[in-house]
Amino acid sequence: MYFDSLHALLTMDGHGAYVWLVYLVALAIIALLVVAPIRRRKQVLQQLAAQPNHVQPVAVSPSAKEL
Amino acid sequence: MHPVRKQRLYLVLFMVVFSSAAVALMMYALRGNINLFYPPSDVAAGEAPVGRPIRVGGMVVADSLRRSETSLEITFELTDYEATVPVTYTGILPDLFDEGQGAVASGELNAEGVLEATEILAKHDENYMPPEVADALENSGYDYKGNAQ
Amino acid sequence: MFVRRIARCIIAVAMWPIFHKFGSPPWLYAISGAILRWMLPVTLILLVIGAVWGLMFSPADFRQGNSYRIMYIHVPAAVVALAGYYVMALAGAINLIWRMKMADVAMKAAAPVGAAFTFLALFSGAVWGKPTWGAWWVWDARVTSMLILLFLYLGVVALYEAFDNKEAAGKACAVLSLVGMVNIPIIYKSVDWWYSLHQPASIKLTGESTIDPSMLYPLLLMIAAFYALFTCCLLLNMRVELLRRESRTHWVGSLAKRECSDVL
Repeated sequence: MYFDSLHALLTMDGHGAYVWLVYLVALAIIALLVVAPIRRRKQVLQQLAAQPNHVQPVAVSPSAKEL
Repeated sequence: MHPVRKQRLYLVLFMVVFSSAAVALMMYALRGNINLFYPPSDVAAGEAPVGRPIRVGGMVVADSLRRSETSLEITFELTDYEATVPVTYTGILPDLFDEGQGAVASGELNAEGVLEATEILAKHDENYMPPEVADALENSGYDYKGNAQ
Repeated sequence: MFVRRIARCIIAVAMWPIFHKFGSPPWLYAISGAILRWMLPVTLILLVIGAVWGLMFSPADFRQGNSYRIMYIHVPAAVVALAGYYVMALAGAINLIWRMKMADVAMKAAAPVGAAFTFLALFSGAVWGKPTWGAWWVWDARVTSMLILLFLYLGVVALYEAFDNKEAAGKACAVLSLVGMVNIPIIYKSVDWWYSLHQPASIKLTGESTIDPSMLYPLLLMIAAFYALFTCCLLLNMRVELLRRESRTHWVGSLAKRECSDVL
C-alpha cells in the first residue's frame, strides 16, 4: 500500500475529504443505477402476476414485422 | 435500401449537418467570449478592456512573486513568452500556485496596465507522475515535460 | 452496378438474422439476462479492484499530491458519458430510419444512465477543482459544454415523459439527441480550440501519454469497468422497458406467472 497507516489513507495529506467524498458519491450513484432497474423489473412482474386477466394470447410479437 | 428509408436517412443526415452548421456559426460569432481568459499578449496589444472584469491567464514568471511584509498582498507577473502583465492580489493563493506554473487571474486592469485581481486560479497541465520520477528526471537534467534544462 | 447489387445482397443476407433477432423482444430479454448474469458481477469486481488500486496503491502525483486520485472516478465517468451519448443518438437514428422498436427501447434506457454518469463527471470535477484550481466551478468551455450534455440527457428523459403517444415521443427524442450530437466534438476539442482552465487529455491515441504507467494502468482498468457498467445499466433498463411494452403478450404473461425467482 502507498500509505503508511489507515490514518494517512483517510486524511491523504489534507485532500482526504475531497477524495473520499467523490468515491462515496460515486458508490451511491452506481448502487442506485444497478438496484433501481432490478427493483422496478420485480415490481412490473409482480403487478402482472397479480392481474393475470390482462394477459391476452398474442402469438407473435409485432416488432420484427416492420423490417 | 428501401427508398422511404433512404429518404429518412437523408433527413437524419440533414438534421445533424445543419444543426452543426448553425452551432458552428454561432460559436464563430462568439469565439472571443468562449475563451476563459486573455493571454498577456492580447492585454499588451490593448485588446482587453480596461476597468471591466476580465481574466488573464499565462505562466507565472520565475522570481516575480513578491509578498508584502505587512499584509496578504502579493504581486507577480503573468507571461505567454511574448508579453507580460503585472498582477496584484490580496488573499490566499491556491495550493498549486507557483512560479513557473500556469495561473489564471480575474480582476480589472487599471490605468497603469496592472491587473488588480480578486481571484487567482491555478492551472495545471496534463502531466502526471510520482514525485520520485519527477526528482529522477530533474537529477538527470530534464524538467517534468521531458525537455532538457 | 452489378458488383454493388451483389454486395448489397450479401449484406442483407448476413444482417437479416441479426436485425431480426434484435427486433424480437423475447430473444433480447433472454440474451440480455444471460449476459447480465456473468457481466454484472465481473463489472462490480473490476470496479472494486480499480478503486482500491487507485485509492491505495498508485503513487501520489508530484504536483497535485493525493487529490489527483479523484481522476479514477472523474475520467471514466466523463468518457462513458460521451460514449453513452453516441449510443443514444445512434439508437435514435436507427429508430427514425428503420422504425425499429428495440432501438427506441435502447434510446430510452440510455438517457437516464448517461445523465447519471455526466452528473458524476461534473460533481467529481467540481470537488477536484477546489483543491487544484482553487474554485468549485469555473465557466470554462469544457465544463460548460459538459453541463450542456447533462441538460441534453435530462431533456431526452423529460421529453419522453411529456408525450402520451410513445411513438411520437421516440421520434421527438431521437431528433433532440441527433441535434445534440453537435455538442460532442465541442466537448472533445474545447480545451484545444479555446483558452480554458481544464488541461488537455493525458491519454493520447497517437504519441506518448503524459501520465506515468503506475498511474495509467488503474485508470485504464477503471475506464474499462465503467464501460462495462454502462452496458450493464443499459441492459437492465432495457429489460424493464421491454416488460412494460410487452406486458400484454404471451411470453411476458408466462414469465410473470413463473414469478422471477432469480434476481436479474
